[in-house]
Amino acid sequence: MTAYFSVEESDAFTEIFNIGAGKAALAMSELLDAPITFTVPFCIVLPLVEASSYFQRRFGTDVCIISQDFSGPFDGAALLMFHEESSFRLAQAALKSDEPVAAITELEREALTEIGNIILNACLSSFGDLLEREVATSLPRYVSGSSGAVFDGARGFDLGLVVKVDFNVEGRDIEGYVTFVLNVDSVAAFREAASRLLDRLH
Amino acid sequence: MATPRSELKAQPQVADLFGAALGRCEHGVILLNADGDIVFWNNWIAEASGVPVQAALGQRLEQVFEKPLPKRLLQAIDAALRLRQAATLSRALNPRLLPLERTLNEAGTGEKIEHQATIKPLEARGGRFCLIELMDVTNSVHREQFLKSQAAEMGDLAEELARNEQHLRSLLNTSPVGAAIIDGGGIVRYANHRLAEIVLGDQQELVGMAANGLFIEPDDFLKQIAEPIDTVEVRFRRRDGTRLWAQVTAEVTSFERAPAVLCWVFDISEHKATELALTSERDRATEQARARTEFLAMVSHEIRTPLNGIMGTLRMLWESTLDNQQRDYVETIQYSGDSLLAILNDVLDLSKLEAGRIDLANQDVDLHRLVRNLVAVMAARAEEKAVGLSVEMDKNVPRAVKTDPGRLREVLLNLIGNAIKFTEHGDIKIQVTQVDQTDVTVRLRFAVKDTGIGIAAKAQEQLFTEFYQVDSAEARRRGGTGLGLAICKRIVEAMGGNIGVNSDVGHGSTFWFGITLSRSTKSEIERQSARPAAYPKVSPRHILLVEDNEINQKVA
Repeated sequence: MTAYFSVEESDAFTEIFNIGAGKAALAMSELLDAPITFTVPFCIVLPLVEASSYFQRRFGTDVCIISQDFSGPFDGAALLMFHEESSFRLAQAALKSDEPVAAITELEREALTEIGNIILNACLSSFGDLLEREVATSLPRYVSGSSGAVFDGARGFDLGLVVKVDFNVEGRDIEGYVTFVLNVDSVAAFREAASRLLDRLH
Repeated sequence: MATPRSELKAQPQVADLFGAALGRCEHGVILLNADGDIVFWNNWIAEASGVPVQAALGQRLEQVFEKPLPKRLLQAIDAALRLRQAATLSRALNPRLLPLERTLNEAGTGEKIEHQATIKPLEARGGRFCLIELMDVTNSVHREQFLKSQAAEMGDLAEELARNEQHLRSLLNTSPVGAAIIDGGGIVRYANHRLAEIVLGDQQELVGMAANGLFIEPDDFLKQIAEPIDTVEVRFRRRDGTRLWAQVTAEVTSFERAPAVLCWVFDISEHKATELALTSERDRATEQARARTEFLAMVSHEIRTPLNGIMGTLRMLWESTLDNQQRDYVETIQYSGDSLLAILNDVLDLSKLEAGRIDLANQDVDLHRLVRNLVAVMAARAEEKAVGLSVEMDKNVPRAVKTDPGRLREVLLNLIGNAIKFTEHGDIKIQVTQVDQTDVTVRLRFAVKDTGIGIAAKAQEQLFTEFYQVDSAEARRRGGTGLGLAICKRIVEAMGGNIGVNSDVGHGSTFWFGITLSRSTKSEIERQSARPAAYPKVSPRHILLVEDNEINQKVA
């Protein structure tokens, strides 16, 4: 991690993502008419191969991923990942269901996709704010099962910027990860942007 | 970035080939320019919103729809135009995105169109646009609602089933009859409260026990309950080791999807005890009756022996030289002795019959002759009362039969004697008819018809029971023990026949009996038929009886 970001840089990114998370939480609260908070405890940059094997170890075949491509100052993909169990709980909270969700059907899938869309758009707009550039996004896709295929599809990229996101939806804690799949140049652009921000703050 | 109004109205310019295709596509397509003005509005959205294309063009989305639009939609449009972000708006989280309806019929009845939207930034002709696509998902929503209602119904059904089961369980548990469900392995899977009471056990403790711990006799009881059991009496063992009788009815059922039997168990211990007590009571009564009969037979026999001595001596006295008065006394004694002997004979006879000790002879008999002899014997008594006595013998009645002539004679004598006794004038007819026959047997009906006083219907019922007399005052006047008919009944029944009476008070009585006799093979008897039957001599006993009335009158 330190190979890519200094502690200060990491803190700065964490701060930026927290702002984005705050926006996303507001939008979600309005949409679901329920108290929702998102917090970003940390972020980390890893070689994509490491990130991939980390998530495969962590989730196995029980992962739920909402991904969006983005373009602008640089291209990449953003992935929101949950353990399947967490996705069930998030879907139940979003659909205001009394019954626990036991499987992801069309309805749950649509709801999770839209939630992912809101969160990823919010994070990416934070990127845009940071870089003072527009970051265009594509429509979200929903994938479940194994994270391997998703990372395999991101070949040609070098690094993963992993952002841990803690959800609190109506008192329920749900753990998720946002990973930005980037190449080294993009990360360099980020670092520049981060240092400008740090200069501005200090 | 504002586009000149004139250009916005330039739908024809947009409506090139692709525009025309989009205009006709089967989902909603809306294009907004950078200011949020509608620059494209396809046919689908025009129809679903009720806003024609020309009316929508150039307007903002908020102006086209009467109701305020959801914030999420407006934010997504803003993000698309300002940040070039794409968004998906699901119907799961946005159930009322736009007020869209489809007209179902001419009356204008509408159906809400369930829809979801995607919002995408679009850059073209140097400008920025927002493309809104609306997808009709009404069918999936209806399918989901249907599935949900089905699930709810299933839930209700399951709840009702559970309630019913609970209800049945409590019914079964409070049933006054013991109940147990026993599975194929002979293990008690359910026992109700009553069963626990019956076997003095604990309901919970019984469950899981082998049924053999409950049912002790017979050992193979469990084999039997593989099939339904109507009702069997089974010995049970109580938990304290004592035993009881139970009546068990079993039906085949299933328990937790495996075959089992439901046993209903009635405690019949008390009933059984009563039954046993009654049986022994009956046995004792039967034994007493037998003892009494034996005693009577013995006593009668013991009395008859000295009486025979007296009668014999009396006969010798009669044959000695006596003056008239002495002769008169001897006659009186002899008559009284004969009466006593007759009574004793009757009593002894009945005792024998009652004790089941009746041995019937089976001899070749000339039936015609037997009847005629009887009539001859009784003729004198009938004459005395000026009552006619005749025989009507059916010509079919065979002469040669096999029977016990003494017993048959006894019955006929009894009936004829009674007829004479109770008839003051008129006729007594003895009719013998054949009612049925085979090669070897013949069924005969003997009837003794009188024109006497008759018998009331009520009295007829008891006529054939021992010691019964229609009128005890009459009986004293006319004499008799009241045993005659009872003896007749027993004899006829011992011969395998039946006996009865038809009578009306004042119109005489007909006593009859039917018996089946074997045909005799002795041709000798048939040959005798040619000869007229010889009338027997009148027996001394008969003479005494005939004279009886006179003496009686004297004594009285």
